[in-house]
Amino acid sequence: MSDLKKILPVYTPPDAVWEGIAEELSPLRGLQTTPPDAIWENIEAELSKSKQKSRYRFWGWYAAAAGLLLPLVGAALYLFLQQAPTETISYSEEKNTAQKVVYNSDFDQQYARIQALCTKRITACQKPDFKNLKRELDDLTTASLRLQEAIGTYNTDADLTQQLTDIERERGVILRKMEQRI
Amino acid sequence: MTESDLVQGCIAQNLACQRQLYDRYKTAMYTLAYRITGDFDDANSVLQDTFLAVFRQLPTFRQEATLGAWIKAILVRNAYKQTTKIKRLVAVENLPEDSSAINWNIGNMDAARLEQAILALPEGARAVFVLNEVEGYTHREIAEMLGISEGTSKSQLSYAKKRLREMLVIN
Repeated sequence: MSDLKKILPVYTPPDAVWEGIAEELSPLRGLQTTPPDAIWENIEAELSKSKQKSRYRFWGWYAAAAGLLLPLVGAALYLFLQQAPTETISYSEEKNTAQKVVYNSDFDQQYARIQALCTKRITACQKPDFKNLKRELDDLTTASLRLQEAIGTYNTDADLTQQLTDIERERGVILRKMEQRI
Repeated sequence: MTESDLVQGCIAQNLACQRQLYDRYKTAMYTLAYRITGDFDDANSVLQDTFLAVFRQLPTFRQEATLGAWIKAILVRNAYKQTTKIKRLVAVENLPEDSSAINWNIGNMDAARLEQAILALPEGARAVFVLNEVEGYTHREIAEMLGISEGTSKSQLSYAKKRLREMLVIN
C-alpha cells in the first residue's frame, strides 16, 4: 500500500447504495411496470362509448314517460293558472356550487413516493432527463402555488382558473413520466 | 467462504453471496470512487453501477487478475466516465515529466488538508494522480483504463504534483 493511501481517510457508502443494487438484482424487477398512457386513453374511450350507449338505451323509456306525464302536467297547470292572481313577484336563491380549483396535494404524496424510491434507485434518479423532469416539476409546483394564491378564495377569474387547471394537468403528466423512468 | 466460492455464489445469483462480495469491497471502492469524482452523490451512483456491472459480468471473469483488481478497473472507468460527463482533461502546457517523489512528510501531514488539496485538483489530473500516487497504477495501466495516451497520463500527473506542491507548500 502506498504511503499516501495509508494516511488518507476512507469512506463507507450509505446503505441506500446496496438497497438500490439489491432491488436491481431482484428477479421481480421489471415485472412491475407503469402501463403506457395509451392504455388509459383506451379505457377512457371505452367508458365514454358505454355512457353513450346507456343513454340511448333509456331514451325509449324517457319518451314513454314524457308522453304519459305531459297531459297531466298540462291539466294541472291550467287549473293552477285559473286560481292564481294575475300578477306575482317571485324570487329565488341559488347557491354558487362552482367547484373551486385547488392545488392537487395528491401530487405531493406521489412526489414524496418518487423521492423515497430515489434513495434506492440512485442511478435512475441521477440521469439528466430525470433531473430535467424534476426541475420542470419544481417550477410548475411553484407556479401552481402562486396561482392558487392569486386566485384566492372566491375563484372569480376564469383565465387564472384555466391556467391553474393546465398547470395541474401538466404536473400530473410529469409525475407519471418520472415514475416511468424510475 | 473463499473468493472462488463467493464468485460461484454470485454467478448463481445468490443474493447473500452478492451482499458478501459487496461488503468485502465496498469501502475501498467507494473511497476510490469519491476520490476520483470528488462528489459523494456521484460516488454513490458509480458504486451502484459498478457492482451491478460486476454481478452481470462475473460469468466472464477469467481470473487473469485478482477479483479486487478486476472490480477496481470497472469502477475506475465508471468513475472517470462520470467526471467526464461534464468536463475533460485540463489543457496542460508541455510540462517535463515529473518523476520525483513528493515527500508527503507523512508524520506531520494533516490528512484532511491533503485530501482537500487532492479534491481541489481538476478532474482529469486528480484521477491520474489518485491512480498513480495513491493506488499505484503505472502510466500504461492508467492510459488503458482512462482511454488516454501514456503521455497525457504523465503530463496530467506532473500538473497535479505541481498544483499540490503549490497548495501544500511542499518542496
